[in-house]
Amino acid sequence: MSIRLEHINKHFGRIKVIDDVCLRIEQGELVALLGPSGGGKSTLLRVIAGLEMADSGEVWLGDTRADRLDARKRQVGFVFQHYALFRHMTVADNIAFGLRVRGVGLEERRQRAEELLELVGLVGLGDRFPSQLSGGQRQRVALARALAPEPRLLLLDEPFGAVDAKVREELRAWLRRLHDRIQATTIFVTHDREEAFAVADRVVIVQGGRIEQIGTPLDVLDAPATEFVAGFLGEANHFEAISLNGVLQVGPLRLPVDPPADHPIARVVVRSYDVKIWAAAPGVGVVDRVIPLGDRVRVETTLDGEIPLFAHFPRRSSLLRGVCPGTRVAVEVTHARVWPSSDLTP
Amino acid sequence: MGSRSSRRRRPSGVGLTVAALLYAGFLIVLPLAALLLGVIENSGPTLRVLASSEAMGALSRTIGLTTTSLVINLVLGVLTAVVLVRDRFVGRDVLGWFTDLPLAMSPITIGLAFFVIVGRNGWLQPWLEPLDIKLVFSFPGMLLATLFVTFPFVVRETVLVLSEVGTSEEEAAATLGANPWQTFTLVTLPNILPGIAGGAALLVARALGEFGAVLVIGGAISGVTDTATTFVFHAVEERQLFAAYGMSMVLVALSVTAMSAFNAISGSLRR
Repeated sequence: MSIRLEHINKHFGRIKVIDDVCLRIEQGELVALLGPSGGGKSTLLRVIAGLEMADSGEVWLGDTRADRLDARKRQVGFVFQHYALFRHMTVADNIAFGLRVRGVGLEERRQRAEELLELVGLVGLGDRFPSQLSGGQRQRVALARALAPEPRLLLLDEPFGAVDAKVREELRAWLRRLHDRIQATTIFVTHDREEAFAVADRVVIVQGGRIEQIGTPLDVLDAPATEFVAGFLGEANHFEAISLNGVLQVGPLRLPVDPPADHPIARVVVRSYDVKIWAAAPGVGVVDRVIPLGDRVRVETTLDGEIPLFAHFPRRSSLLRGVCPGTRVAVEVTHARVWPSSDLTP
Repeated sequence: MGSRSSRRRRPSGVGLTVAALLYAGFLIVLPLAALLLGVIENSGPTLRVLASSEAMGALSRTIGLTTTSLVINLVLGVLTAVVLVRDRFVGRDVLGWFTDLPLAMSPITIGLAFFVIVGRNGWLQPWLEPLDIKLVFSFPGMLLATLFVTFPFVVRETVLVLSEVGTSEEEAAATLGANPWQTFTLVTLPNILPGIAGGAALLVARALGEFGAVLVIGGAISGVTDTATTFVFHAVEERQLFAAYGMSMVLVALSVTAMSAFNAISGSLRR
């Protein structure tokens, strides 16, 4: 089922949590709502599900206008961040709940629960109670329960937020495979960009109740629409740069991009992997710290004694030779993104 | 000394435990033992008095008041709790405050208040009289007082459990297609049953032991509005000590049985 949101607005008290959001999602897509905590993405998901009512705007599920429709009539499967399994019911009864309230008979319910247990890889655990399962298992029960009534739309709110890192990676891959198999339109909320990129066809970046950008993972990564997106999608340096004779400069650094037209001052975002640093005298900067982070190393420097800049390198990178705190280094920026500085917009 | 105290599991140690046991023993076990001894020493006459129609009448009135209050306040209490926890409306805090009020009032004051409202010259008399409804010195009036006195228990316990279980399971039920009634009976109710049972235990104990309010509104007329507690009161007044012992023991036994039953239910539901 396709989804269309038209000019959705929502306040909690005086705080505007969704600000004029429009969004189209096609049948069968797997879309991530990505953004920082408190940005409104969970609320947006709950508006689609009918768990919150928008103050204004339209929600279209397929050809049905749904924004005044009760949650129970929207045929939407919802997976909650903390599972929200019925604690006094067995796993099988949890999964069959959606069928039970529709008056489906006991035998059919039992059969369908078995099918779904198989689908989510939990055969034999139907008689357990939720409290007897691990976090990852509970999450899969929650998913099976949401899928049982064959929803036209599957919504997942931070689905892997409450399980540990290793299980999270397994569940991600599994969700992608599951989606390819059942082909239900799926939206999930996450604040983890890796998770969004690993699973989704398209990513919707949400911040401050607004959509910042919509695109494939590569689109948003390579062509961020705003400074926020550029900074959010990877660890990055943010600078104020000055345009001199058509060349954009940050302190002693020349940037390999054209300055924005008619703006002498620009906002510049340089990703941590778009910087080269190597030991060289006299150089333009001094290394402050070298921090090993596992498979990569973070190098923090100061340019001209006042501008901080950091970069990431693979652990065994030859560039790191001779780089330690106090070393004078040369710096080259290989890629940068530029926006006109809003402070000086005419 | 140092090594010995370091072996102790609790810093409070044995001293505090003994003190607590002694205090509880003095306060609870001693009076109970006194009652029990009184009954045993005079078992013959005690049983005879208990078998009298006055005693049986008083006891059945108490049981009637208790069970009726239990049924009515279970339903209304759970309803009130759901409204208090789940609904957002102006005056919710005020409602919560009023719900607790019976706990803060002396029962005899409550009895008096009802007397003012439904008594011979009471506020409601102009409406009650033509309908031939007599609440003072009657079972319905005593029931009204008992209902008032026992109202807070189920509400309070249910409110606690309701806010603890949260709303996410109810939301899940809604997205799965359950209507509000299905959500309440299949999801919410099983989750809050332990709290309801706990409230019921307190309610029954309170209703069985109610004295002041039913005394004022009922008048404790022997054979008409006498209850188990007012029966004990009269027996003590008239120096019929074995009657007082006997009825008290029956009350204690009923109360303890009901409380343990409901607490057991509550415990097994909590799992």
